[in-house]
Amino acid sequence: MTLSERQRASLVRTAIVVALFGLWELLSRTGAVNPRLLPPASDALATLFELLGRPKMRADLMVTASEVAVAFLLAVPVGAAIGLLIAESRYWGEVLRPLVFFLFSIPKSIFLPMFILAFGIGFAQKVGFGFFSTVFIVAMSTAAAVESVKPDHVTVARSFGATRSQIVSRIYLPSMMPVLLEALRIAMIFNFTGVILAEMYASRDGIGHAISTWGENFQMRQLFAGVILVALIAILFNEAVRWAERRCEHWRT
Amino acid sequence: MSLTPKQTRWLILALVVVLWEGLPRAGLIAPLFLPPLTQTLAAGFGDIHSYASHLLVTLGEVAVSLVFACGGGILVGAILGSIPKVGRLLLPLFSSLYAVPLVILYPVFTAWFGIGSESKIAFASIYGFFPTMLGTAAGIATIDPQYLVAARSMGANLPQRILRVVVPAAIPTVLSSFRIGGALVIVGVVVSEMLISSAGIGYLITSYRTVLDTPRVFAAILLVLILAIAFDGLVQLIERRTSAWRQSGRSPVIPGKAPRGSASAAAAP
Amino acid sequence: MRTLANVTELRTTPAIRLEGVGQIYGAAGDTVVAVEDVSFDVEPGKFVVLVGPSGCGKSSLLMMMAGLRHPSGGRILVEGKPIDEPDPDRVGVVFQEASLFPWLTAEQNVEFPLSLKRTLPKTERLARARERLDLVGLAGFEARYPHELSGGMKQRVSIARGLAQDPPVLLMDEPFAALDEQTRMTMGDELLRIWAETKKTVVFVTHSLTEAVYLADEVMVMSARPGRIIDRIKVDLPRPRTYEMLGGEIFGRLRDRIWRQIRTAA
Ligand SMILES: Nc1ncnc2c1ncn2[C@@H]1O[C@H](COP(=O)(O)OP(=O)(O)OP(=O)(O)O)[C@@H](O)[C@H]1O
Ligand SMILES: [Mg+2]
Repeated sequence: MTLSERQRASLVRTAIVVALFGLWELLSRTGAVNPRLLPPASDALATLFELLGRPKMRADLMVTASEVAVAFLLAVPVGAAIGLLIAESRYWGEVLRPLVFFLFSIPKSIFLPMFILAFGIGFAQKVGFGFFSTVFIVAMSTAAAVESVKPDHVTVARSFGATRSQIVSRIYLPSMMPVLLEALRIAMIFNFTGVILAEMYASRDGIGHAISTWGENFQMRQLFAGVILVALIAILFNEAVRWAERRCEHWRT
Repeated sequence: MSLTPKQTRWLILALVVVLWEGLPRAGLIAPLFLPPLTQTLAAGFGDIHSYASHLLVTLGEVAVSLVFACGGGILVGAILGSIPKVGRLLLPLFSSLYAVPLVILYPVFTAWFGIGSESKIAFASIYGFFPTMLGTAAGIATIDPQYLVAARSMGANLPQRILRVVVPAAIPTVLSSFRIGGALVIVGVVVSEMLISSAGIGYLITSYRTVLDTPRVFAAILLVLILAIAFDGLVQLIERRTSAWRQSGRSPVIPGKAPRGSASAAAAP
Repeated sequence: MRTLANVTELRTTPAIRLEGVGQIYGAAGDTVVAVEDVSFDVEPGKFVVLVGPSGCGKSSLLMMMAGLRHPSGGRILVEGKPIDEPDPDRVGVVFQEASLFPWLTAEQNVEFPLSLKRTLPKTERLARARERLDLVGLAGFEARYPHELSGGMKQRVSIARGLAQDPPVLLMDEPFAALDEQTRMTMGDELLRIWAETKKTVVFVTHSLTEAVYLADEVMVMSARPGRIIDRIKVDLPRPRTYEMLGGEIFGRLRDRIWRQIRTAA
């Protein structure tokens, strides 16, 4: 059986990842690195499964998931509305574009304390910060997505008598899809990062809070299990959207 | 509308400043959430020595991290970008990694290196490394091979080709990667100081926050903002200086357009 | 007693009639007169080619005939009725390259105009789309996406899409401009074959004088901005047109005449 270049590449990549875990295991088991600081990979994985069975851990995951979801569901429509305004209105586009770009490019994390001062410590503060981390990138990408719609395509549709709503649903949406998918993917990265950071900074629950507590208490096995878990969730989501992006890659023109 | 977009923009900015001063003064926002602008500035200038000494700590950590993150990132990126086979193999791994909120690694570093500067440098270096590396690799990979063919046809040897073709062609990308990576390094240092530390601007932010000294928190935040903007402006200046002799006079991060990939990395979460 | 000519004139409404049509762009103070006082008739089944210097308003004129823009002055009748908005049952449009929707297959692209109205059931619409693709010589390529088609094939799909609703009038704005010369020649022959089979009235814009003479029953020459019709040249070459005519004396003379007109107009 011969493999295509792509299959071979993903095979090699998998091998690299497995090898890295193997190296980790080896370093720790042989004592080349202090196992108290770097517990063996197998231990971390075993701990991960054990943790997933615990109700406290499940509750933490649920908290994080709901914060991420709420922040995302708030940030996407608001950001999209701003982006639409920028792209569709000449005047407001010129007014808002530099402002949004500025807000988009300054570091958001340093504003975290403001959210605690405003909302106290809890759900609202974390959602608020997640929203704040996400909304500007959504606005920027939506504007870019709208601008990726080719005027020619709109003219063609009009020449066939398409109505306004048909132009939106049959030209704008599919034209914007590739850019939009990428935007959603990156927005989710920002959103997830924002919520995790907010949880690590000041929180009583959530997976980010759990991770920082394990770190402070030198519970290295739990800590590494948590790191693997968060990384896995992020990578799986990212790959799923990337897969969809690849499917409509050729729509880009 | 009678106002030009520029005027409206300035009006909005002026409104923000006025509201920042006016709302807390009028009692519409509790000064605990938002102290008036003048009070914030007064707090900052009143404590200028303390801010300055902590800023120095932060700057030192930023400088060291910059060497690791941008130096390493540009080096590895250049290698991956110029060997297409290896690049194609590894880049997907790195871009998957980009999706991971790297901040979860910070507790690992504090456990390993303690709460001093080392853990900040480790975290900020990694934080800035990946985007710099990815940006550089992408930039190098898109150098038109036609340039190299042309140079070879004119009899340029390998060092000449690298020095006279690859380097000039790569400068814009490298600079923009440096800009992105540097911004992330600054954020990385400050955020890690905010989380757990004993010195630095981030430490100040958190310690003032815990005692609810809001004006000083805001003054520190302003200071970091100025630092980030100053760094960005500095690199942009260099970019413009070099743009006279580089082929594509277009900065890869165009204000106003959301350049895909690169700018998403530019915005630090 | 009426002459024969009179009888035909009475019987046929022109497929397209322009009466004093003008187009002015821009707001008050800063206006561009793109088209000025253009009047002409196109008889049903004729192949008319529009040429003129760049920016003289050819596309603007076509947009108005398609109902995509309102004339600033005058009026346009298609099949005897004014055209105020796009009416795909009367007018089909074929645009320059890359106007196919990249997210749809060839078949779905052709089906697109039919799907907007939903008067036909889906199976029938797809059958119609396949029939049109067959007409333009693309049977077997139904499931391909535009990026999987060559430039010439894409323009065939575009033509099929313009013909989807079987309109009597087909407007084409530099449809072959982006094609290489060989493909362009082939596409010209193909277009003439399709035109002969479907008996459409065609208004075709091009920058190529050879293409103009080769395709046209009549060439209309526009002046530089503001665009006006400055000459109408009947092409009396027999049909079917053949490659050999390109070197012929009549062909050369016609092309020279058009070129002189454009040169003085520009
Ligand atoms: N939407 C518009 N707004 C303002 N001016 C326009 C607009 N569209 C066209 N024009 C101007 O009107 C004139 C005619 O344009 P048009 O596109 O109709 O010319 P054309 O003959 O098709 O040119 P070409 O041969 O380059 O395709 C040009 O000067 C153009 O700049
Ligand atoms: Mg035109």
